[in-house]
This record gives sequence, C-alpha cells and structure tokens, in this order.
Amino acid sequence: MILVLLFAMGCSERPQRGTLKGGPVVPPSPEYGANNTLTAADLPPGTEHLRLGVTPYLGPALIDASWKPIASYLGDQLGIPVLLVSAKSYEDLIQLVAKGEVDIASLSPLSYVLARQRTEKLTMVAHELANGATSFSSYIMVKTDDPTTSIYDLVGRRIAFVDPRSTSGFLFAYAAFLDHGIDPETQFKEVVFSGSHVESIKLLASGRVDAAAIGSGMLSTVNRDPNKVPGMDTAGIRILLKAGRIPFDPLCVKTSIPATGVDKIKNAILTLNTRTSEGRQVLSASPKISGWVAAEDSQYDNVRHVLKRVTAHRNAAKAKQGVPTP
Amino acid sequence: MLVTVAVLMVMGLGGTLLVRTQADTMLEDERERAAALVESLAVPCAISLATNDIERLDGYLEEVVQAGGTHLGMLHVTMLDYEGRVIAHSGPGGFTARTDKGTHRLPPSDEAQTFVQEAVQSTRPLWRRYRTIEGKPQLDISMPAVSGLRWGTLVAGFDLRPFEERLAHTRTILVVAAMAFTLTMFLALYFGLHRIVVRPIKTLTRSAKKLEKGDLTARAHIDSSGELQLLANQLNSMASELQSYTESLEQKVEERAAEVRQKNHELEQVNTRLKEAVSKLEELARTDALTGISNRRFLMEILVFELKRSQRTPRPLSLLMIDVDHFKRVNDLQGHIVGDSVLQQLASNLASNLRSTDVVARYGGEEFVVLLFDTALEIAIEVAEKIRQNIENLTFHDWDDNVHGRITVSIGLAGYPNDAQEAKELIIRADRALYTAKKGGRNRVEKWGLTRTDQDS
Repeated sequence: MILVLLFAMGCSERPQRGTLKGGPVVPPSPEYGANNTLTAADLPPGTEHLRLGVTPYLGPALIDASWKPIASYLGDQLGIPVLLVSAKSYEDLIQLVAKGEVDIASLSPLSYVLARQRTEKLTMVAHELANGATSFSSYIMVKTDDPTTSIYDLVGRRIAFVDPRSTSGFLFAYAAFLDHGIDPETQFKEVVFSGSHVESIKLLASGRVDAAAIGSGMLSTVNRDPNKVPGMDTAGIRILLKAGRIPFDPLCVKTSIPATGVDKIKNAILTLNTRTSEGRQVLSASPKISGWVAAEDSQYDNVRHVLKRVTAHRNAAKAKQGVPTP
Repeated sequence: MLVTVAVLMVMGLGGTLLVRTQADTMLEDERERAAALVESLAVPCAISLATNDIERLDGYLEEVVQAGGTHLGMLHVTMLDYEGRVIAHSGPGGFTARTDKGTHRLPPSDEAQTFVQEAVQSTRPLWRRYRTIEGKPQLDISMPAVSGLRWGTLVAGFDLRPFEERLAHTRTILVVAAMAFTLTMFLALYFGLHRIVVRPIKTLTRSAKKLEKGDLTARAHIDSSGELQLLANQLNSMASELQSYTESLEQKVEERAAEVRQKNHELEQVNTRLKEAVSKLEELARTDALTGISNRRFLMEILVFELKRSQRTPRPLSLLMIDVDHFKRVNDLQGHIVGDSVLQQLASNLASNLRSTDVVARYGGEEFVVLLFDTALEIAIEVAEKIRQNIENLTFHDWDDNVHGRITVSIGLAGYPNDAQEAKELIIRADRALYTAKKGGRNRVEKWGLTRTDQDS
C-alpha cells in the first residue's frame, strides 16, 4: 500500500513536456528570399513583360489602387515588368484569359470555373486570403429598417446582383433563392446587375433596390476602412441570409509559360502576405487581401456544381421566354 | 504466506499502474481540453493577425483570460507571430508588435523560452507541465495559429491546481478502492484457499493420523473437487480396505480363540471326568466292595504312613483286630447273603460309633480292623470293650428287615509303639491277641502283652 502511495505521489512531480495530438494542419511555408527572377528559359520567347488581369470586384479605381503595388512586387520578384490589366467586367477578364491576353489573372471563383470551361491553358497557382480568411460566403443584404424577416419576404421586390460571373455576388445567392423555392427569374419585381460589390451596396444603401447579394468580405472591408470605399453607408444595412462557403479568388497563370516560370511566379505570390512587413506594405492599399496560399482546382468543384444547377435553371427560364441560349 | 505476499505485491503493482494510468489519462484529458480551447482561440487570433488587427487581438486575449480565465483555468495567453515575436498577450505591461526590431517579450525562465522557441518552430501543438517558482502547478499549451497560412503561435498557461485536486481525489478513491479490492481479494483468497486447500489438507492429515493411531473408522470428508478430493477418496478407500482387512483378521483370530476355548472346555470336561474317574478308582481301590468301608490295602497304606509319621513325632496308636464269632455258622446256616448283610451292618455300626479320624477297615472275611490314632492302649481297651458290648447288644436284621438274631465279636489289641514298631508286626500282635480272645472263649477283648510269654512261645 505504501508502495502504491509513493508511486502515486511520485509521478506528479516531474516536469513533463510533449507533443499533442490534433491541432491545425500547418501548410508548408513559402520560401522567403528565394531567387524568383525569371530567365528567358522561364518565359515564352520574346516576352518583355507579364500582364496581370484582375476581376473588377471593387470597381476599376479601387482595383488599380490596391493591385498596382502587388503588380509592382511581383515585377520586383520576377525581374520582369508586371503590367496591371484592368478588366471592365468579370466577363471581360474571362475573355482576356481565354484569349491568352493576360499572363497572370486573379479571377473570381466563378470566373475561374467559366474560364476553365473555355480554355485549358490555365494553371491555378494559389488562392487569395482575404481578411485573414481562406473562404467566404454570399450575403443577401437588406436595409436595417426593412421589415423583411425571411428570404421569402423578398419575393416581388427589387434585388441587385453584382455580375452574372460573380460567385458571391450572384451565383451562390441565386442558388440560395432556388434552394428556398424562389425563382429569381420570375419572382422578383426587378433584378439589377450592379457590376461590383461596392456598387451593389451603394444601390441598397440608396434605396434603389430592396436587397443585394454581396461577398461576405466586402462588408467588413468597407466597415474597417470606409475611406477606401468612398460613398458607402453600411450602417443602414443588415444581413438577411448567408449562403454557401467559397474559397477565395484563385490566381492563375497561363500555361504557355514554362513550368519553371510558373513555379517562380507561384513562389513569388506565396511570399506576399501580411506576415512580413514588406507584405503588409504592399498589401496596405488592398482593402481585404492578406496573402495567397497554395490551392488546388478541386477546391472549386462546389462552385462548378452550383453553376451547373443555376445555369440549367436560367437556360430553362430563357427557353420559356423564347430567348435563345448563349 | 509467500503466496499471499506475492499476491499482495502483484496487486500493489497493479494498483500503482492503475493509479498512474488513471493519472496519465486524466492529464491527457486535461491537456486535450486545454488544447481544444487554445485551438479554437487560435483561428480568430490568426485572422486578426492576418488583418493586422493587433489591438483587437490583444484585447481579445485579455478578455478571454479576464472573463473566462477563472472558469477555463486559463492564466495567460500570448500570441507570437510566425517569426516568434510576441504580438499580443493577455498580461499587463507593454510589448512591441509588428516592428522588425521589436523587443521580444518572452516568458522569464530559460525553460519557458526554450518551450516558446520550440513552439514557434513546431508544426504541432506542444505542452509542458511544470511548477512555477511559487510552486503552483501549471500547464502550458502551444498552438499554431493557422488560417490558410501559419500566422503565428498561441501559447497559453493553465492553472493545474483544480486538476491536481481532482487527481488527488481520484487517486484517493483509487487507492482506497485498490486497498479495498486487495483486501477483498486477500480475504477471498485466504478463505478460498483455506476452504479449498488448507481445510481439506487438515482433514486429510487428521484422518491419516487417526489411521496411524489405529482408528480405522477415520475417514476424510472433503467437500472439494480435483486432486484433494481424489487424495481423500484414495485415503478413504485405503482406510476402508485396511479396516475390512483388520476386521476379517480379528474375526479369524476370534474364531480361532473360540475354537481354543471350546477345546479347553472339552479338555476340562475330560479332565474332570478323568479326575472323577481317578478319585472313584482311588476310592474303589481303598474301599471294600461289600461293606463300603476301607479295605485291607488302604488300611495298610494308612498304617504304614501313620507309623512313619509317628516315628518322627511319637504319637500312640492302637490297632483293634475284630473278628465275628462263629461267622462260619451264620454263613453255613443262613446263607452268604445274610452273612454279607451281617458284615455290612457290622461295618456300618463300627464306622458310626467311632471318631471320624479313626479308621475302620475290612481286613478280610469276617475280620475288621480299627485304627485309633493318638490313642493309648488303655483307652483303646475301653473303646474295644465298648465296641464289643455294642455289637453284643445289636440286633441284626436280614435282607427283609426281619430280626434274625445277635452276634458277638472277639477283639485283639496291640499298641504302638509299646507292642510293635512296624505295621505288619502290629497286625500280627493284634491278631495274636485276637487269637487269645478266641481261645479265651470269644466275645471278649484281649490285648497283646498279657499273654506275651505264651504267645511268644
């Protein structure tokens, strides 16, 4: 018995340490300070600069302000000028990508899926981290004083989507209406495509529409730094419904660039994040970007799935109205 | 006893192992709980760090410890960035964040620094359990803060005092339970062993001893199974065999003894009959067939014997020789049967009128001899005269009890040691005296000596 007590007492006094089970999966860290300079062998012959196309999710002016430092950083890293190509619309960028008129593209998830449908000559190297998060949702917003209590109350009212190529600003919100048995094609008084998330918020805040579908990151972006998004009033709006979970915007490289070049571009973009002081400086103009992480195409399979549903519904609706399908 | 000690040792070790295992399990649970808490905290912290929202992060950590610290047992929590700089922490005091040459505010001890440095390097959550300088038990948990990228590391300290109290409580319960269990097992074993092994063995031993002492009815009654029962059965059957063998042996001995007794009995009977026969024979040998008194042979034996004895211690002895007067006439005139009857009546009369020590014998024909021991001749003369007168007055009966007449006798006396020294000589002297009495006219008593000269001549 004495032995038992001694053993029992003894075992608690030793300092102990160890490794725990579980915990988060820690992704491998990018190689900071690596030489990412592109040589002639890393590029298609005669390449003098790289064109970086960005989805105009914030509107062209804001995109330019936040992406120019990123293009500049990439240029420094890659040792070749990186020119920012401002697309006029989501569709515009998809076409640029499909035509190979941009070398690097930051596409919205849906744009990426659509672009991949049109061209195979596209390699995803990373996806964006926004506001420190890896994914986002689609919010259906209404004004704070709107009596709406559920999504069904939106039937017969005016609604703003961002763009038919916007993932959170259109596709997932559209699918959410379908999930609730609401046909956006027929059951709204008016459907507006604003062109950008910021514009949609403006339309809602001004009372032009009764509801707007925007990406979840946008609200905090404008809330945290209203100066970056002039003319916004987010105090008067609220979230009615949250729909889906989507990985952030993928960064793609066209496949005409040799694999060695793609790897260098990939490593360059992965080293750009707010962990480093340089990254924080470069990204300080961006309202939401925290960095990029390595990504895989299969992460966007859900987007493809939702797209298939929505497209099928819209085609059927257009067929009813006698509009030829694209 | 050795077995008991061994059992106790094994149980003690088992109990120790149980307590230690239980303590390890509890500590692991505590670690898992703390780690889960830190892990859930790590995600929002990572996002705050990613968005460079340092003030919010710092406030967040402070709030967690302040508001939930007591309940969660979280004493402090520190956020380090991916390069190991302290970005925010729950404690008071300044710190430098987000400057490339910032002051690194790290925990005080080298051990703590080592732990933090390892935590920043490690892709896995780490833990350490230690005591503060004040002796308070603490648990540190480190957790990578990941959101797409690894933004940093959270290190949180937990108060282990409540845990140690629980552990002590559990340990007490376990120790008590282990003791109770051990005691129960010991008692069960002891009594079980006693019942199963010791008692049967004692019973066996007792029975064996009884058997050894010769109590063949002894049996070992064991309520058991297995070898001991087998042993008991063998002992019992051995005892039974021994008993039945002994009993049969005793029976045989008894039978033999009975036979011997029977033979002895028969022998005794034979012996008795033999003795009876012998004594009868002896009596026959010294008795006169007709009269039932002593015969001549016995008379001579007695006389010789008594005279020899008298030679050692001189005692007087007188011998009377009695003869029936004219007995030939009785026989001739009245027949032998009457003669015999006369002789019988005469003998009977002689015997009844004399002392029991005196001997009356038929000397032959109608002659009788009387031996008077310790009797001097003078007295013997008187006795002889009394006999003569008695017979003279006696009426004789025939065989039909008819009075047929009277007879007389003549008596000659001789005395020892005066008249003769030897038996034969004494008889001759008495016979001479008888002759004198016959000659003197019959029906009279004559003693030797009065006519010694005549007679000698």
